[in-house]
Amino acid sequence: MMTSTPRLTHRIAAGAAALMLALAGCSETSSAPEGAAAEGESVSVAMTTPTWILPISQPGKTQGENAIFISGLYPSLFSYELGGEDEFNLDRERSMAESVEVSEDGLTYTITLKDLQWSDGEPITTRDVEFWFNLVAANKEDWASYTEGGFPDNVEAFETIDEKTFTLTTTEAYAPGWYIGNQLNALTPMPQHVWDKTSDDGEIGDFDREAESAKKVFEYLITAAEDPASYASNPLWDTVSGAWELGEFTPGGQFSFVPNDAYEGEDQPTLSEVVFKPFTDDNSQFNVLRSGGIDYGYIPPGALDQKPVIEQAGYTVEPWHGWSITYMALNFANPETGPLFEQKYLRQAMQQLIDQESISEVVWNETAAPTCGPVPQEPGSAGTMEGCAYQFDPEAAIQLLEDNGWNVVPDGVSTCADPGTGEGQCGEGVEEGDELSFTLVSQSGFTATSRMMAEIQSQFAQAGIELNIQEVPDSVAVTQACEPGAECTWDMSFFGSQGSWYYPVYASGERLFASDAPVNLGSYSDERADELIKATKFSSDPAALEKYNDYLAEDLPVLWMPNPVNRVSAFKSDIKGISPQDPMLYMYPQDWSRD
Amino acid sequence: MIGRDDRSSTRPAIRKGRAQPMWQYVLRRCGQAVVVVILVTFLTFLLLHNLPGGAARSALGLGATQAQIAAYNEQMGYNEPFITQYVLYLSRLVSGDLGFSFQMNQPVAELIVQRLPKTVLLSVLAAAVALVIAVPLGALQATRRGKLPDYLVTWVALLAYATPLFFSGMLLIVLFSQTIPILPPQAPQGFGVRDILSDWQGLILPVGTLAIATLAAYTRYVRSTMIDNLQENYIRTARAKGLPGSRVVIRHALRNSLFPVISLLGMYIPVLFSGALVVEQLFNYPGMGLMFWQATQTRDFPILLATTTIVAIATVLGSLLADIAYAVADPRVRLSGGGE
Repeated sequence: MMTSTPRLTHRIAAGAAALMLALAGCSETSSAPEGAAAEGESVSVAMTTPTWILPISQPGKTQGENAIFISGLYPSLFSYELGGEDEFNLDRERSMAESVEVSEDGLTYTITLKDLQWSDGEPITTRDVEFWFNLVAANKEDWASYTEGGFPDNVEAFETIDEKTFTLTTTEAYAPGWYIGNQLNALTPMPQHVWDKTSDDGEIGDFDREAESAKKVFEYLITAAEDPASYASNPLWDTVSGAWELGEFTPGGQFSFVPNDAYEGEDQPTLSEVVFKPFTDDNSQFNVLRSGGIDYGYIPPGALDQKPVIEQAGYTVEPWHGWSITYMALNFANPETGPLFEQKYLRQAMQQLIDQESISEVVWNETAAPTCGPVPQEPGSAGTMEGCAYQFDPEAAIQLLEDNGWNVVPDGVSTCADPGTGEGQCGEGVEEGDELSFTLVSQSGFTATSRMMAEIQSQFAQAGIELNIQEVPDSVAVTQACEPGAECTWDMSFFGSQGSWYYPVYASGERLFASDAPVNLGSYSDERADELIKATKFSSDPAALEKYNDYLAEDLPVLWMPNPVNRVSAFKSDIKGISPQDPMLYMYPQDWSRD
Repeated sequence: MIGRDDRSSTRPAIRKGRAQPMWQYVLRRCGQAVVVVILVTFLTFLLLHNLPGGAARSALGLGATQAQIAAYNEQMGYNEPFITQYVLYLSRLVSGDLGFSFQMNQPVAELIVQRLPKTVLLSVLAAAVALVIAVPLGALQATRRGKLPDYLVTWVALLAYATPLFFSGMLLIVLFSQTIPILPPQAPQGFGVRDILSDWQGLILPVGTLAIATLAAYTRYVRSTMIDNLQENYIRTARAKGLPGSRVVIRHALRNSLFPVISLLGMYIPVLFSGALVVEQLFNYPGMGLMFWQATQTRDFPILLATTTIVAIATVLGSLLADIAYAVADPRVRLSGGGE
C-alpha cells in the first residue's frame, strides 16, 4: 500500500501534465477562439435566432430579430428614417417604392414601384404587392398587426394600374403621415410567381384572388414558415427581393446572409457574408465578445463598467437609441387602488417625485433620457427635462397632496383626511383613511432598474407614498391589460429596462392609450385623449401629433420614466456604416464595410 | 450538482431480514416511480397553469387582441377545466406528443431529439473526466488519511465543491480564453454529436467546468467508502496473507469501493437529461439546459412542461436503475424492506 500511492500520484501528475501539454500543443496548431477567423469581408453578429421568415407576421412572432431577418430577405415597400427631410420620413433610396402620392381628397394613395427584380430574375411587380394584400385580407385575424378597423379593413379598393403602379383607396380620409407610416409600412412584395400555390409540388396560380383558396395558400406558407430548420433548404425561400440571400440556417440557430446578386437597390452590400451567431444569454454573449470572438455584439446592462475593456479590445461602443418611450403603468381598473389613480393630482404628485434627470445621469450612466410624453424625444437627445410638463419637485408634490385632503406622513403612509368630491378633498371613490400604499411590480435582472426603483421608493416615501417593490422576471409576470370582468389586482408596473414601447415611424397612440387599445395596460380612459388620438389618425392638421402629445404628457395616463437605450452595442472599430443605428431597431448590414 | 458526501442519500438502506425476490423488488420500485412521475407532472402543470398572463399571452405577445387570444385558447384547449387539460396532456404525453414550441416553431419532441444527445455528450464526458480523476484521488486520500495529501486534496475538493459553477466557469474563461487565449469561450455550435466532437477544443472549458463540480463530490465519495473498506476484515486478511500493498488497495479495497459509485452514477442520469443548465448557459452550448433556460425566459410552456417531465422521469429512472444495479451487485439490499 505504501508503495502504490506514490506511483498513483506520479501517474496522475504525469496524466495532468500530458493533458496540459496536449492543450498547449493544440493551441499552437489550432485556431484562436472562435470568431478570430471572421476577417476580410465577413462580419459576425450576436443575435437571438429568428423564428419567422414569412413577411406576414403571426402573433407572437414580431420580435426584433424576426424583423431584422425578414427585412434582409423581404424588405417592406417603404423604408423610413427619422429626422430626414422627407415629409413622411421615407427613406427614398432604400424604399422599393419609387413614390407615393396622396389624392387631394386624401382617399387614394398611388404607389409606383422601382424597377427591381427578384433573385431569380423575375421583375418585382404590383402583382407581388397584390399577392401580399390578398393573403392578408383573407387571413387578417392571423396577422399580428391586425386591429379591427385598421389595415386592411380601412382599404376600400386595391387597384392595379400597370406592372409598376397601383392604388389603394381608403374608406376614410386618414392623416397621410399616419397612413403611410403606420399602415402602409406593412406592405411587402412577395414572389407571387413562386409562392401562389397550396402545396410543395402544386401548380402556381392566382389562388390568392379568391378568399377560400387564399386561405389555403396562406396555410401552406404558414406551415413552411413554421419550420425554421428548413429555411435554408426549402426552395420557397430561395427567391428573395432584398439585399441578401440566406446562406445558411443551421438547426443550432446560426444563420448567415450572403449578397443577393440580382439585387438592384441603391444600398448594395459590400460584405461577402454576415454571420449571425445565436445567443440566448447575455453572459455567454459577453464572454465571447470580450474574447474578440464576434464582431458585433452588445454589453449587457450589468456589465457597463466593462466598457473601457471592450474599447481596448478594439471595439467601438455605442448606445443604440430607440424610437421609444418608457413609463410606469398605473392600474386604473384595480378596484382598490384604481380610484386613487383616477385622481389627477395624485398622478401629478407622483410624477413630480421622479427625478428623471438624475436617474438618467447617475443610475443609467447617461444611457437613458427622460420621457416627457407619449411621443418620443429625438433619439439620443440630451437627458434634460426641459419642456417636460412636470419637473422634479418633491415639495410641490407634498403640497399637492395636502391641498387635496391628504394627511401627509413623510416616511410613513399618508392617509385621506378629507374625503369627498369638493375642492380640496380627496376625490371621487376615495374614502377617509385610505392609504397611499402601492405594490409596484418591477423587472428583475437589471441592476439599473433596481437602483432606479430604490431611488423612486425613497422619493415617494418623503411624501408618505409607500411603494412595495416586487421584482419579478418579465418572463414570469408581464403585466397584462385587465380583461373586462376579470379580477385585476396589480397596482403599478414597470417593464421598461430596455424601453417600454417602440413605435413605428409615426408615434401615435392608438395601440397604447386609446380607451380600447390592445396594449393599454392600465385601462386608462379619457374622452379628450381618445379624440386627440383619433385626430392623429384622421386630421390633416400637422400639429395633431403635438396636441395629442401635450395633452397626454400633462394628463399622465402613466408615469413617465427615464427611457434607457435599447442596448449598448459594441462593434469592431474597422467596421464602417453601422453607426448611426436605426432607432426603429432594424439592421442594415448592406451599409456595412470593413477597412 | 449531485451527491454530497453522504452515502445514505444514494445508497439503498440495508436491513436485516429475508431477501425479497428481485422481480418483487423491481415491481415495487417501478410502482413508486410511476406515482412520483404523475405527481411531478401534475404539480408542474398546476404551477405553469397558474402563472400570470397565461400561455396565450406568452405565445401571442403583448400586442395580441382579445379575439386572437380567445382563438388561441380555443385551439389549444386552454378554455377547458384544469383537470380536463391535465388529462389531455397526460394522454398526449403517453402517445409521445410533447406539444409544439411556439417560440422555436418546432415540435418539442424534435427539439429534444436534437438537443438531448448534446447534453448527454457533455455530461458523459464531464462524468468520465471527473471519475478518471476522482477515483485515484479518492484512493490517494484514503490511503494517506490524515496526512498532507489527504488534507490537500480535501481542501481543493471542498473549494471546488463550494465554488458555484458559474464562477468556476467564468474563471476558466478568463484564464484560458482571455488571459491566455488558447481555448474558445463558446462551446461548439454544431448540429450533431459528430459536429460537436469535431470542434473538440470548444468542449474543453464546459466539460472542465462541469467536471470540476462533480469531481469534488466523487472524490469525497470514493475517499469515504474506501476508508470504510480499508477497515474491513477481508483487507486485514489480504494483508496478513502477505499481498503487496498496491494489490490490496487496487484489487480489493478500490474495487469494492466502486460499488457505491454505481448509485452515484444512477443519480447522475437526471443531469444527463436536464443538462448542466448553468454550464450550457455560460458557454452557449445548445443542449437541453440552454433550451430550458430559453423557455423560461419566453414562457414557452410546452418546452417547460416537457423538459420538467423528462427530468422527473429521468430522476426516478436513474434512482430506480441505481437501486436495481445495486441490488444485483449486493443482495443484502434486497432484504425485506430493502430499497427505501
